Amino acid sequence: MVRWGMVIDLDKCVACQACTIACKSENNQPFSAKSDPESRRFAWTDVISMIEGRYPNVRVTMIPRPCMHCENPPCVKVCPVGATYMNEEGIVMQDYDRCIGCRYCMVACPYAARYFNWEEPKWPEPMTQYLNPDKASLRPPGRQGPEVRPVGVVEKCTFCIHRIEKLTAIAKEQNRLLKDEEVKFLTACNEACPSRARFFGDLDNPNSTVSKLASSPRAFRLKEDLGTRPKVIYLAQG
Amino acid sequence: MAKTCTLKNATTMFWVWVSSLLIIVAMGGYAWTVQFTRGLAVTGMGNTVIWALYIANYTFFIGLGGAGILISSAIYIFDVKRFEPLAKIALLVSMICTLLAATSILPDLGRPDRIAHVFLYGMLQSPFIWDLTTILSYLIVCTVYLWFSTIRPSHKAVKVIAPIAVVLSVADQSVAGWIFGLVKSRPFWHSPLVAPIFASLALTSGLSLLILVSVLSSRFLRANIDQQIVSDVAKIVAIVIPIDLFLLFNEFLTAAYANVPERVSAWSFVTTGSYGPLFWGTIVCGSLIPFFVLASPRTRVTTVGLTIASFLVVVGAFARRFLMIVPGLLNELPYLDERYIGAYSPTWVELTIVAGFLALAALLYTAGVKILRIFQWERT
Repeated sequence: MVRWGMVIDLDKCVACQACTIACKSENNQPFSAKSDPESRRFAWTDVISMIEGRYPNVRVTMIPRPCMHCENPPCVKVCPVGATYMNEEGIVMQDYDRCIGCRYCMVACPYAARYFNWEEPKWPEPMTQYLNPDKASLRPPGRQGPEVRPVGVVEKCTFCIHRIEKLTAIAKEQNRLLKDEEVKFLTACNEACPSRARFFGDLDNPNSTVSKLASSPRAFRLKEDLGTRPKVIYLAQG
Repeated sequence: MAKTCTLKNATTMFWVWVSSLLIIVAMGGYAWTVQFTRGLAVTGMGNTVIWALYIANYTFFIGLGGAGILISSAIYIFDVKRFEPLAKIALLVSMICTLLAATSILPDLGRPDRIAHVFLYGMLQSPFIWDLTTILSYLIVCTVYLWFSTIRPSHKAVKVIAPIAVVLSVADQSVAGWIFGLVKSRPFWHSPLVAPIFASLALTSGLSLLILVSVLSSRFLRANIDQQIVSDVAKIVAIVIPIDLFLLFNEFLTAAYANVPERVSAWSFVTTGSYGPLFWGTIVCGSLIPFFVLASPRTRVTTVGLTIASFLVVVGAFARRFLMIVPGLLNELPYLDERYIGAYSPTWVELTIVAGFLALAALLYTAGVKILRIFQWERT
């Protein structure tokens, strides 16, 4: 079985936020105007800054933060209606048609990786013509993945599940398994990364790029002490 | 012949009271339609302060609904006959507050139209489902209890229901506390003491509401309630307030002495940050002052003392709920940067909806007293 994971090399990351923008357009995240409150902005893979120490002895680490797709996801545990669930490939998904908007999952998420549709999603006029028409079909009939969300539901990073599904279908047609080189930069964020700091792949395959990088002594996970077992692995700055 | 309080002999004051409550409820309803059409964007909440006034209101009503039943049941379980005159009011108050607790979660939902999903797809591992189960069963038991003590009085039935109601009441408070206490990602909430604090807050606020309602009912609804019994309830509140403060101090001390970084930052945020004045104000006005008023045998028996002290405890309980929820969310998740740490101030929509719920509680009580003929032993 495949178990999707991501490795982000903080030595290579230049904190340009190209991943944030690529993700926003790939996954139809609503546009935020300048007047909108900062706390309602959408950024499935945000770049956050971790500040250590105090001026003048201060050090800032910029960390791209997608959903961690935890092996032990606190959000899935608390959802009262099963709108968020982990699929068989280890991706934590959100069903927009099932969600009742109680936001318990957002409260439970230690990484603030979940976003709520406080209002009807909106884009400036020309942008509405260029929305991504792709769909995720894993658990019909609920809307999920990049499909435009209704108001009042929670949404989150899907590891670009629609791209994974598309590629898996092609591989199946050719009667073979997905190759590591195919999926290495599969997600929109990885594809857009100019310094090749992000890698995607199967953590269960010991020969995959992510597996090899994950065994590096530089590897760490965010908030490991919470026992969430994230599948996004960081390589510490050297 | 006892003179019953019916609509026929209602005064102008009564109709002014009812119609002003109706206006507030209608305003709350209007605010809700605004929120329903424009989304939760009309509230002050955001992706940092995910829950706020609505959830505070929800837990507040759960707490208010929990304590009255203990007074009513004490009569049947411990044979404390002296509380008999308060039994029906306590039941009515518990039932109304629980009903409103169950409904006050709705405005917080992004999709209240999908509430049926909770019954269709309910996931047993979610504390929300535990809460829904206990609150609905508690509501049903309260209603049955009220039915058998007013409309169809049956001592036999009540004797069976009373212990069940007590167990469900305790369960209801604990589960409401677990909604917060079991969340590991919020250091301010993640504590085994949340459920006990919810129980102690429920006792102080619920019993204070009972005192307030009894005093006001005997003043305005011509109910004949012996002040001595009300003072006895006040004595219980005076005992529980120190227990509540003791639990709160325990929370503080374990965090501060052990110097757990996230918990210390959360506590210093609550006690010295922008919510500091509200926190200390709540401790002084919502716990200490009422404690001294209710503990002193001289002030405990006066109407003014009882009214002010019980009112302060009820308001203080609301503030305590708010002070747990909002600062618990506002306090930084340690690795996040400052732009996430927004501020929260409720909008008019939130305030109006909450005011609507409070007015609805008062309205339902007024109606319940009339319909169920709670005060039939009134003075001649």
